[in-house]
Amino acid sequence: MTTEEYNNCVTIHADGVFRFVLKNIAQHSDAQDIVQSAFEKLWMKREIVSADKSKAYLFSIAHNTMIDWIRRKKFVDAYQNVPERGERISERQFEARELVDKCLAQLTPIQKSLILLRDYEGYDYEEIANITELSLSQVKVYLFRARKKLQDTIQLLEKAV
Amino acid sequence: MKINIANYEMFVLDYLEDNLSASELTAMRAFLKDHPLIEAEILELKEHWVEVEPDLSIVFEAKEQLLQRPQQAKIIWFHKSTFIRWASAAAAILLLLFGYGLGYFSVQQSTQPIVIIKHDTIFSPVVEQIMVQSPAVPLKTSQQSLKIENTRSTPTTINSLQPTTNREQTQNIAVVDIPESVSNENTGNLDTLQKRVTSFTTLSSKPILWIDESWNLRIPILSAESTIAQTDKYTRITKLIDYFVDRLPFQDVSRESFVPSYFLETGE
Repeated sequence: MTTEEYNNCVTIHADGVFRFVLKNIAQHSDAQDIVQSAFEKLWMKREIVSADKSKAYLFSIAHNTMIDWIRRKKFVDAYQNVPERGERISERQFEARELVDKCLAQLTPIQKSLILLRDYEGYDYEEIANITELSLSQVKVYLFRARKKLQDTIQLLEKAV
Repeated sequence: MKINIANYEMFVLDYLEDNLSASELTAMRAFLKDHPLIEAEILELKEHWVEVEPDLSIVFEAKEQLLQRPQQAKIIWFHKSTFIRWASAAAAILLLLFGYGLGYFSVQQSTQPIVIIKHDTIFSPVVEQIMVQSPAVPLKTSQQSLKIENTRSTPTTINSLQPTTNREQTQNIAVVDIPESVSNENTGNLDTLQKRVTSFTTLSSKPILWIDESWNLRIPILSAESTIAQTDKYTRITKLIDYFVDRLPFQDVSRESFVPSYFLETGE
């Protein structure tokens, strides 16, 4: 990948990767760090990553870094006895976007990643399997469960409203 | 294909998206017939399909920090006298490279051995022919030419007595900055780097290049036409650098790090 191709990758995909990470972890500055780190790794590997694979590579790095971040966070939260974010659903009325965020918050990190890769980026199941290093079957099962959970959560919220 | 309570989840999405094969579809229908609650659940999922829309208001604002600046090549034209000085240094290295194969030959003041790469072939995957040309150099050996097999087993001829056939040809030397990472991490010192490049050059029978005392990678070429536009020459040099850098024994070094910073030319 040339410098120009790398820069194109930044221009085209930086927002998408950031969106993907931010929706997963809901921590603005940490999401920025993860995106920055993903692009740094991409730049370092530009000799072996071709331009057409750069997006998948980028999302793969971002996904793995994010999962590590979530594990660390869980460990620190557990250690500090901080309750996990987003686990409770309040009964007030939600804006549509907020509703989606609340629903996403009910998913496990992996489920969330799969939904966002599929819905935000339009990856097919096989590409998602490559990015997340899961098997194709796992991707399909987790995605099915995630969709089911999203639906259940929305129905629950609608009832609450 | 048997679909059961333990594995049906694997097939649901493909079932809803009509991506099951004929046999899988039959198996899925049979399974759902036996499990009406699951069928209802799947139909419910289909009816109230939830998809997440990307929130386009979220943007990464620090994109500028991620961008990398392309390294700009700077081209400096040298006078003929400067070229001769450099070419003399080149001659010394060429003697080292080929000295033992060709025997001893001396270089006179006004003549320098010139590496000629047939311009039509230099950018092909394997360089077909290389000639070391030293028109007025007496060769003190009975050996008049040296044949080297290249990697594609096409004989590469280095003919030290080949007279200049086209006096209007233009001699060029591309000088390429060696990035600091190479000098610091990969080589240790100039001698080591020179040895590595020399070793690479002689072993692979590729056109000659060398490192000068200012840590520049130097690639001598002689284009076959004096009328080639300068931009075209520059493009050719850049491609030639790509060709070499791909084959240099450097680890983790981008070819983009090797940017031609000088382009020497002298007309005959």
